[in-house]
Amino acid sequence: MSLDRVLSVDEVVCLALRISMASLNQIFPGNLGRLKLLRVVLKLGMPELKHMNPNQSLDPMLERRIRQALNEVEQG
Amino acid sequence: MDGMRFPVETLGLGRRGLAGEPLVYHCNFYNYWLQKTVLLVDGLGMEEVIQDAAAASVYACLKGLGVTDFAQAEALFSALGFGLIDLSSVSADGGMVTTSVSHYGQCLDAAAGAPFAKPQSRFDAGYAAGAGAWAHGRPSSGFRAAIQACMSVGADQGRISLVGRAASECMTTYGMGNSGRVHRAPETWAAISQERVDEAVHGLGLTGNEEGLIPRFGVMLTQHFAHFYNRLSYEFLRRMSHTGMRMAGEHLLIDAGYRCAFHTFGGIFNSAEWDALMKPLVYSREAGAHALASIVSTLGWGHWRLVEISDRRAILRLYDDYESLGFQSMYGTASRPVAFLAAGGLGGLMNLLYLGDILDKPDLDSGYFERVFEHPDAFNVHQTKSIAMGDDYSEIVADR
Repeated sequence: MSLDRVLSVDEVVCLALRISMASLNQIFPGNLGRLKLLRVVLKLGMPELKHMNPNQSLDPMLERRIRQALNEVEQG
Repeated sequence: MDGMRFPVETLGLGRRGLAGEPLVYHCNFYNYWLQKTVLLVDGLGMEEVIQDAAAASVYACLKGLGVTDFAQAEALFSALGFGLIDLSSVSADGGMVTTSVSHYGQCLDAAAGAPFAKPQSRFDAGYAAGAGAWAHGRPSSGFRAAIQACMSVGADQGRISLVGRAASECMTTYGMGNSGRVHRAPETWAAISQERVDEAVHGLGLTGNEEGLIPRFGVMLTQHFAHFYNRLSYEFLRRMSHTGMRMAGEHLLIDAGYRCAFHTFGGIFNSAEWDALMKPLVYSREAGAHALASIVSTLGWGHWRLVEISDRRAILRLYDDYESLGFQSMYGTASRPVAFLAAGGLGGLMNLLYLGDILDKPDLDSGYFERVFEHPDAFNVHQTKSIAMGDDYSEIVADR
């Protein structure tokens, strides 16, 4: 994370707690990633995920939910 | 033997039917990804739809065959590639059904690539319920089926309990349903006639072996009920229509078709049968595309005709495609094209030919799949016409 700008409160908390703040593009890279994102959208019932800025850092709570759903859709 | 017992008719424009029910060939990859997709959203009730669609399909087929004994229902299960099922313990009140071999229980793991958290054999449960109901004079949903054990999650055999229930509503199939307005698809490739390709592919005897499975072209095939696939796909989308996620659902149905194409078409390109029938005729990728389309046209999917094909763009016309006809038969005129399997199929075909050099017979492993899938210049597909919307044919464009 670059420090050449003012950090948000969330970012400061995440830095202090060493929590990563990933973007959708980081969690779902490439063409296969985009399809996994669609599966997560359906799994979570969150169509708004498709309209988020894919390069924006995610709220840590949301990121946790997304990663948990991703684990579930990656199971057989 | 079972192929003789259950003679599948080839009708015009590539449709295939048994006892008034349309059949289509599909592989374990499609069966896995379709089921996985329609079960993604909690609360849609798709588990019941899967079982009811299976029950309605086999019920209608057995009724059409005019058979009532379990031996025939067990033989049909095997002939269609679903495995080995024992229905002998089912009485008019219910009972326990076992599967010692199961396509859904044992063959989907190759597609999943990860252990299963839940049983995969919902189709088997529906089949058992539908066959039991027909044999005992109940309506098609007259048995409630519950999966007690499934080989997909480690059981040594599948076990399905049936309990009689009063059924207020029964899902029904649409039989052979509508057909399109065009009676003969144009010939777009002169190297070999469709009739000769039909004869060659159907001559392979693609029916269940002694285990009731159809291992061919590097995949596990099933000769499946078109009604089953269509009911799953379109009921899934219908139930998603107010969630804001229908488009995502459509994309995932196309992806299921893409994966089907990638593995089954890839396996066909790499097969000895391809070498014998098509390789002497194929001197270019474009010819390879036409040749594969003529083989696809034998699978019960309707006739596939490429009216334009190059390394940048393809236009595929579908005559009597089972998806559009099935949708129209079940729900009436569509407001949007519905040939999702075919759209994914065309995307898979183009990427195999132009990005994956499939004519050079690469190994179809996961690394190859990812390399082709992640290619920055991969083909996109768009549906531009649909029989379900009233057009004479369905049409899909692939470009990049």
